[in-house]
Amino acid sequence: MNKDFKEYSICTDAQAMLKKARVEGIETVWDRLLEQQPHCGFCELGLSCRNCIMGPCRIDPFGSGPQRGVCGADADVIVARNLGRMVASGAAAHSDHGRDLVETLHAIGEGKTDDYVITDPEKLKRVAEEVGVNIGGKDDAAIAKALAERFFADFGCMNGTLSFIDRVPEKRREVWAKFGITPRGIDREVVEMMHRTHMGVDNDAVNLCLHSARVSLGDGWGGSMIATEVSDIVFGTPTPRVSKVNLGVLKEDYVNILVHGHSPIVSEMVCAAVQDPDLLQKAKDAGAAGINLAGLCCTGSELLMRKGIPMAGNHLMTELALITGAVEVIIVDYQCIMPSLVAVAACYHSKIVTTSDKAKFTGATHVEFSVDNARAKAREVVEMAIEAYKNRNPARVDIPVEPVELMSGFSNEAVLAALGGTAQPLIDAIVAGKVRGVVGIVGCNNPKLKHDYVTYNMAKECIKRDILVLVTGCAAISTGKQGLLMPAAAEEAGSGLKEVCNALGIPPVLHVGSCVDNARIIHLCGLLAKALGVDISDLPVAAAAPEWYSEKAVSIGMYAVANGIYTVLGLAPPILGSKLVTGLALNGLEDVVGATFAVEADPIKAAELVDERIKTKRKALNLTP
Amino acid sequence: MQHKTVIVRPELCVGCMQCAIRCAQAHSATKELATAVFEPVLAKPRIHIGVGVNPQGVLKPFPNKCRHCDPAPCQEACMPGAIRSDIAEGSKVVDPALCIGCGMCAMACPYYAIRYHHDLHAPERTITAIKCDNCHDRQKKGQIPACVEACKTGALEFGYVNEHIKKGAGRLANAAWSMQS
Amino acid sequence: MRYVVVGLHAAGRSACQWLRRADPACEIVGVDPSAGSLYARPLISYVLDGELPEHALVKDSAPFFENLGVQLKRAAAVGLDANRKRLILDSGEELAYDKLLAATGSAPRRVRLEGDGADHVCYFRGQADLARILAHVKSGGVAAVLGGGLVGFKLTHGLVARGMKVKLMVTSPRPLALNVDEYVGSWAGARFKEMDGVHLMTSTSVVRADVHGQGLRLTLDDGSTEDVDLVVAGKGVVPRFAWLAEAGPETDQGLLVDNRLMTSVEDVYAAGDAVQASDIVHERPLLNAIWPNAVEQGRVAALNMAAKGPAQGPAYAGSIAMNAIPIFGTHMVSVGMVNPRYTEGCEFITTTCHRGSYLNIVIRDGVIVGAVGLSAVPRLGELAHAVRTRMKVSRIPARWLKNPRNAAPLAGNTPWYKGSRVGA
Ligand SMILES: Cc1cc2nc3c(=O)[nH]c(=O)nc-3n(C[C@H](O)[C@H](O)[C@H](O)COP(=O)(O)OP(=O)(O)OC[C@H]3O[C@@H](n4cnc5c(N)ncnc54)[C@H](O)[C@@H]3O)c2cc1C
Ligand code: SF4
Ligand code: SF4
Repeated sequence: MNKDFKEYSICTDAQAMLKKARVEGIETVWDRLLEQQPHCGFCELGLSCRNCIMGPCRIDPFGSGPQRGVCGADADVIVARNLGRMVASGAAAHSDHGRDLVETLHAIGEGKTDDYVITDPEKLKRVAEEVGVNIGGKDDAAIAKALAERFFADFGCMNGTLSFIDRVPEKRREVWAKFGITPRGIDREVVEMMHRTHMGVDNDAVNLCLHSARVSLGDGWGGSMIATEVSDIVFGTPTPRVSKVNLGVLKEDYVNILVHGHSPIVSEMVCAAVQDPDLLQKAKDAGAAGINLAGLCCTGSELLMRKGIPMAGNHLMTELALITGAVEVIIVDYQCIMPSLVAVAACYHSKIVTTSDKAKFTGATHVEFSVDNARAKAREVVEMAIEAYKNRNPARVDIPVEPVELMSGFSNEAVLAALGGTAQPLIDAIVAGKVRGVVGIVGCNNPKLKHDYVTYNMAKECIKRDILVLVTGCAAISTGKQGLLMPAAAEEAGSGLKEVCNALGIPPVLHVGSCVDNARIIHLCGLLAKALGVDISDLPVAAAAPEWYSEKAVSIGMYAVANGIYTVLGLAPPILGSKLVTGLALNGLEDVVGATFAVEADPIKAAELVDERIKTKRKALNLTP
Repeated sequence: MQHKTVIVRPELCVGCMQCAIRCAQAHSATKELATAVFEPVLAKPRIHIGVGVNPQGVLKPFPNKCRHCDPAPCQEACMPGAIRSDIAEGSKVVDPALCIGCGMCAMACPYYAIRYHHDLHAPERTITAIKCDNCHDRQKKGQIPACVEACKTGALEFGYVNEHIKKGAGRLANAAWSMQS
Repeated sequence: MRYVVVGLHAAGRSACQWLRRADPACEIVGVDPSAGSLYARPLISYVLDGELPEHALVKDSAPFFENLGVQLKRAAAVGLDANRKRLILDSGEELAYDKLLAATGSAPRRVRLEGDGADHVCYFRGQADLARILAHVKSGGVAAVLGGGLVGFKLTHGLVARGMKVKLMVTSPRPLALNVDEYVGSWAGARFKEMDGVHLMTSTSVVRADVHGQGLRLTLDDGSTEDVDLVVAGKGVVPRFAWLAEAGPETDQGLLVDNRLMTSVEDVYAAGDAVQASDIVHERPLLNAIWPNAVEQGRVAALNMAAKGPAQGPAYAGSIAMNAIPIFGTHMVSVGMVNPRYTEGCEFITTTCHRGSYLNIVIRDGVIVGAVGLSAVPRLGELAHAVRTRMKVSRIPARWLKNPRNAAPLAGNTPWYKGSRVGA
């Protein structure tokens, strides 16, 4: 039973905590994966349908059993319907998160909150003007209200299109128009997907896939982009800053509070509360040296980007953070929070606090946050953590590593500022071949792949090849923990990229935010394409989600490809049961949207695929490969 | 000599058909599900979920596969001697190179355990008899049969029949029966 | 202990294997004039139609028999002295035995024709017959196949595959009259009618064959004539046991045996086509000259021959008719009692399935006695078992009949079958 936990993760903190979990008899995501394996083969291939109760149905991929569901749907239709619903769910998650920010903005505009304010009024005005909100003579509150209302309309279909549609290069919009995939409203596309995938509605796999693209574009240029921009307006636009990452950011003699989930709305309030001198005093009275706040996953990234709050770890580290025995409270909002956290916390003095009525966990403590009580509630939770600290068993505490430094905060504004105000120096570097191209390496962790291994090694390989890497979400943490997010990592880059990084004092791998912040990447692509007068699909860029696991990642991958960005996935989505849909994803889409998916779990080969794409695109632009 | 075999406990089967899909995968050329479904001649499962009916008239799944009888009626019926006992001890294995697809073996099998398909191991013939081979290839590598590995409920076990009886399971069910001569 | 096995094909070879398994130390002598080659005679039809290459048919028998420690005598048995327990061979040699198995199989039933061409009629029983037919095969030529049974079918199929035009002459009003029910018989007849190069002539017999040029001129019972290049007859088989007639065994059409497969001559057992064993369904001795019966009888006889002292080997449950032939892209299958001649007064349950299979189950007094089908081979195996075990039709759940394709098997005490009735 001598498990070598090196097979599970490349991170020493993870390996140490897995060992501790084994000794203490605590079950983790890796144990549950083993128990689930082998997985359902029909589901792996996307060939099971539960959309109605004439079924459930399965299609036999080996051709000796049924080839159609009870309703008559064949493998292609069932796979396309299932994929459509995955995209819809992913897009819904990002977009509902975006809506929460619009509601916050609206509450500020209506004066219904004292807790939230406009932190970046300059961006407020800039965005308002951009989307056609009249700001003449209005104060910030009035602009906030008007902008919020404008965005609300994006969710339905009252605008008939998206507010940010003009950010999309003309050529790309023509492609969308040609295939009828221009998004008309964020919720509308999601709802329509649910409609289409009901039994007996859309029974053409290609048509369903096209709608999947439309749903995802509503996410990328709609829900996610709104989430990003409004977060910047309300909480401040990120600027580069240095912080720390890995479980070493937990402090043995402090009250440790972790924020986990995706939204900055609750976490920003917790961030304010931990600085409260009264609470600090209480913590000291409880015997702690102070209060230590750190992040997990995308909520963590939101705070890291804007406030430099240290990062404890990504998706697969969330259970392991609790296993240090040093965490008093994990405050969660929503998305990617494993239900198992409650059970792991119960093995210690730790508490899981849920904050949103749309994300309750049986066994957790629920503290409902709203715009009018957030500050008070945040204090309440910090007090709860101080109480919990008193119950901590020091004998069970093990913080296995020293933290690693990382640089974060590269919003598009910050990147442009670093370049001296325009994208031109970046374009020049690309033309000169110093930066051969740009790849967005994004996405999650997945216990089916060695934790952080694929993401980190792919990023490392890309920078070697003078490809600038942009990271978001869990992928950012994977690279940050290995030191790639520091300017010093330029040493590992190819000579061209190294030169550019050193000149600008930036790392070769730039942390641009959480996963809704992938919107920053497509926005940047839009800016570059417009500056060059080409389509996004003509740019020497690519995307990758090496260790993805979630439906949100499917939506992101889908909008990347629908934007013309070639996307390499580390694991195949559940579509292999349909030759048609698989063929479309791997080849056919090139003729439709100018990009395809590829599947490659080997980081070096994945980097090669990206490199090939960049070479092809550079050649087409008459640049050196 | 006793051989380990797949013991079936139908009362535990939930009809998920994982055994069938993993069986086909294990008998494919590439052995990976993601690639097996793209092979030019698709592998075929050798275990089948049949539909049974309980006394209340409720449909119940029944995992059905070869029992590797001894003596085996299929083998006695096989004219070209394609059902061999010398490929894997204790198993009756169809040698696709010898099978002529005549259908006699299935006529002799009381269990609906033999089916006919275009077989990737004899692609030149239109049909070949296909049945459980006890995953002898996997067993050689120290693995257990693919169907057992896939079964989540314990409806398929890999073990010795006599131990199974000793365990008091009592209901060999349609497990590893031999035809009585 | 010395066992002598006379005839080394399906039954004899099976007996050798089981004698060796039952008694590792015994002496086994195998007697057969064609003992040098190892093959399965039904495969000659696969060679004829080109499915199987000719060289793949026959193997050297030495390794097989050496492995079993069987001493081979390439000679024919011509007599048996039961008192002295001696087998007499055509070489003149006498062979002592303790127990003897008569497994000399059967020979094709000869057709009796007038005319000087009668000797030119070919039969289809073994490799020599195959060679003779292949020597006469002429692409574009005309062949007459006499007999609408399974062998006639295979012959027709094979000769057409070799490019000949075939006149299939069947005495009865429809082909396969003895083997399948009316539905399958007419289905097969219709397929043959559609088939290029086949002329199905029902209610037709040949009375005369005369040499005519390179070929033969056949005269039919209606007086008409047909000129052909080749005539092959498949008119059934006759058990071959004349060589032991002197010993005086009880016989009917074939050797009669008890339920340990011993003939009425002490220590002389019999197995295979030579035997007329009790038929499970008809419950009287019948000829069921098929491979699985021969192999099974070889095993049962061997185990009884090898049984020591008062111990007995397994009882023979009885023979059964069954057949499967791949034809027209499907399998035509039958088991037990299906001949319409016998099934009068029986009940039938017919089931079809959307993927084109047909299954007809014959029931007598509530018991399954036969089944015939198209594209339903595997299920026929279960029904064969049902016939063998005299399964009551009430044990077949309605669900099974609704979709035999994916129903759980009938055999075995699947607990939930209890009480579930057909039509319920
Ligand atoms: C073309 C064809 C197709 C067939 N298809 C099928 C089918 O699809 N399914 C099926 O079940 N059955 C089929 N059969 C029938 C099957 O082949 C026989 O039932 C089977 O061969 C019987 O075996 P046996 O050992 O009893 O006798 P045989 O096969 O007749 O063998 C008898 C052996 O005894 C030897 N012998 C004969 N006389 C003497 C003697 N005096 N001394 C010593 N040795 C002697 C012979 O040389 C021979 O080797 C087919 C037969 C033919 C010809
Ligand atoms: S929608 Fe069709 S395929 Fe899906 S469960 Fe219903 S009948 Fe089956
Ligand atoms: S169960 Fe059927 S296929 Fe398996 S050995 Fe027995 S007769 Fe042969």
